Amino acid sequence: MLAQQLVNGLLLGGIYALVALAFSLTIGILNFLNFSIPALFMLGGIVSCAMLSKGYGIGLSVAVALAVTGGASLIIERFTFRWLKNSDSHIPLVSSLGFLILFENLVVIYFGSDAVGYPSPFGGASIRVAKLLLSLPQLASFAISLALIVTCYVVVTRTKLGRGLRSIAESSVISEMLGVDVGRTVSGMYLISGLLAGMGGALFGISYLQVSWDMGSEVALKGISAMVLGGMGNIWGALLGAMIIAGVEVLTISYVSSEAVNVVVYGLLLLLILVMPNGLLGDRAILVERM
Amino acid sequence: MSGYATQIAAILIINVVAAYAAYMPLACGQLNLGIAGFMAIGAYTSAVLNGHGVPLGLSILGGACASTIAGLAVSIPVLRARGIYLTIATLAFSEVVAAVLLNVNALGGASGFVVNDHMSVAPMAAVMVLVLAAVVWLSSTRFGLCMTAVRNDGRGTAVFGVKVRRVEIAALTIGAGFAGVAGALYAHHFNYLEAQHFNVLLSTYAVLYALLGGLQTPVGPLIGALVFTLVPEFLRSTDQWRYVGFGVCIILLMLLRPEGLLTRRLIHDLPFRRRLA
Amino acid sequence: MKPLLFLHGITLTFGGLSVIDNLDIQVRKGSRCGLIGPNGAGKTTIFNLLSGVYRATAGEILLDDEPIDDVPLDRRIDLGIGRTFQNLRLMKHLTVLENIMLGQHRLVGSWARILAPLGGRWNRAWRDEAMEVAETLGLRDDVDRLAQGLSYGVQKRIEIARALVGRPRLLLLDEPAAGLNSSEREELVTVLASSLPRDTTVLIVEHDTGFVRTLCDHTVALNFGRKIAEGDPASVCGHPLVVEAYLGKDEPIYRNRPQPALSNEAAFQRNDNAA
Repeated sequence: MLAQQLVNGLLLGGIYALVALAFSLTIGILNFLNFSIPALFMLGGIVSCAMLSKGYGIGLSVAVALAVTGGASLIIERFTFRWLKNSDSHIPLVSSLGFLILFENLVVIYFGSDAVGYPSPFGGASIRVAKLLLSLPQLASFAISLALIVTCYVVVTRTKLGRGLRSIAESSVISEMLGVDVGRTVSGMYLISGLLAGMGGALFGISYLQVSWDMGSEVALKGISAMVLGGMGNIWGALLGAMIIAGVEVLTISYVSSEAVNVVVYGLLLLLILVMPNGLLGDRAILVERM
Repeated sequence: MSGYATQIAAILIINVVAAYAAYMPLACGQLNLGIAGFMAIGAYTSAVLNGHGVPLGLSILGGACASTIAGLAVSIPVLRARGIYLTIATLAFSEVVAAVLLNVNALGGASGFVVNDHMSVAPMAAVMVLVLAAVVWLSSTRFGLCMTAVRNDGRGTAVFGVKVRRVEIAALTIGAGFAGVAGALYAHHFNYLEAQHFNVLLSTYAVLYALLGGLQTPVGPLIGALVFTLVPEFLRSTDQWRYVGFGVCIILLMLLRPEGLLTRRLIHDLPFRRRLA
Repeated sequence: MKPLLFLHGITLTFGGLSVIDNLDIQVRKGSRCGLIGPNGAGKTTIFNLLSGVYRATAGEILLDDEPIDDVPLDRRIDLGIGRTFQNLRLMKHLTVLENIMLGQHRLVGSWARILAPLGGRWNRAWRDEAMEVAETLGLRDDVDRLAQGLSYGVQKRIEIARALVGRPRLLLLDEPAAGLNSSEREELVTVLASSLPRDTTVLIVEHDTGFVRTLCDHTVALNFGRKIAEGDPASVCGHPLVVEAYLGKDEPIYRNRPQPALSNEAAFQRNDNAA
């Protein structure tokens, strides 16, 4: 029983980790809490769901969903970064809230306000290993999440884009002077976080077979908690934090009650930010080597 | 007044007070995304006090006191870190409050809580005017000067002997008190409380009214709440398109008037050039 | 006469790199002391030591015989140390008068006074004083305008006014003439000469030796964190070591260049003033 719950938590954690990482990248690099990420997560789920119900294959559906979230994220970049340079720090946050409200309500208009079943071709297929029941789509989702996080780590630490990002995290002005194309690099970062969030939404649909216009908010809050727990701007921190948050959530549901989940998860987040604001693995440790 | 007009007026008054709750910390550069939590504390405290026979006015005062104390308790540890940490901490605080309320059966839990005394629009408006007067007065003092200075340049302000952290804590605490008032007004006008009502979206709207109206003058949040509560009503558009329009408005306003609708320069450039603030 | 400010054997090192090296400076009460030296001489570092941004590695700073090294940045003002910034730090959403009145904060004290309306009668004395200082600095017509968007020279004077209304014992002016054109600079010298109160001790960091010569009664020249000359401004500015520090030594490697020293910004300013 306990083992089964822990496995469920682990698999859920993969999706939280994608969202946590999407938040973490924008915070680590631009120090900006991007509230359009829940909207992108939701779009990833809804668009792929809509494509699937029109009879397209899963591959094409997810690809279209990712194209939509990536594109939307690039548009959001214009309105939250490129065109508002030199503004007060909370302006981009407010703009991203505007996008959240905009996208959520557009989806309500076109897809309705009820939760929709996700017509996944894999359904609820599962295998039994020892005494554990493993859902195959969830297992696959977890593997994809993990692969994406590792890819993201490689991009940030090993590529030219990643070098640019890390230097912008240190100082955007100096990076620009040293020849980093700040506009393109930041666009790249928005694209990555849009794809991560969108993929998270699609995987959520495949794993839990249900999507709705407000699916982003709940997951986003869990993602933020995971990010703080692991350390803001820290890539492995997002993964570790997500595992812990998902584990705590699943255990609370099975041993306390499903109503107590929010008390425990957000209570943990509040406590953490008060006593240990740098998280378990340290704040921005991978992105920036602080003095 | 017709039922519809009364409803709109009540919502408007609550929105204005909530906007000032968000304005106070924003005026010194701190974003409080936990307005809903402080509103919930004010609403439930006032409702419970009232349920135990405490008169309406005192209940509301009690609600405001409770949320003020909560604001102080949250801001003292959190403002060590400031910035994004404060935003996330207040967000988490608000979610904890809502989640706890949902689990306390004595307060109705998920099924809601009935409030005794009803408050009509006229006394609510009076309370709103009191809040507005308090903010205008605070803004005209050295404390208001310090708030703006801290927002513009926190470290530079410390050089003049301003205790920056104290100013921030005071602003957030006073804001939390206003949120409590807004919550109590909500409780006594609608006479029914649901924990789910006090969610992130409610906090978000309060913050948006303040920012869209503008932080440079104490009248900004009033304008913001007024415009963004009334215009959708007059347009009588369907519910969802109204929100879509709101989203677009936010994005465009942040791009075109990032300082909000009402700025000091705008007032300065007015033909009659009254010195506000 | 006892010095108001006494920097005694101050040394500051950053990870092995010595920025200030065993420096002694004494500033008499009521003196206008100029601190000159080329870029990187350690002038601004001394300012940062005095205003509490850095802490000396060795030595001590005495203000009226009281060591101030342990006083944190935001308490230095309580000792009566006022300062201006090299990069302007005015509050853009406040008017000129409000910016100046911010400088009075340390004197205002109690909460009751902090909660009295600025335009009311409780604050009349403060307002009048701020107006008076604004007037001596030639800001009379600008007091009700927002600080944002005013000319650089005006903003500089607002900063000085804001420091003056705090009635500092020691006023630190960080490159007051930097970024001003020559007519603005002359105007500022004239205004400062007439507006600085007699009992205020002033320490001025300045590139421009002409500025220091007009305004100061005492000058300390630094190079590479060491004192290279001290005395009355005219003799310090003409001191061979100072000239060398500003213009560079005539070393063989530079001989072929047409006018090597004039590539130095300080040299330009010096020529400006000599002309």
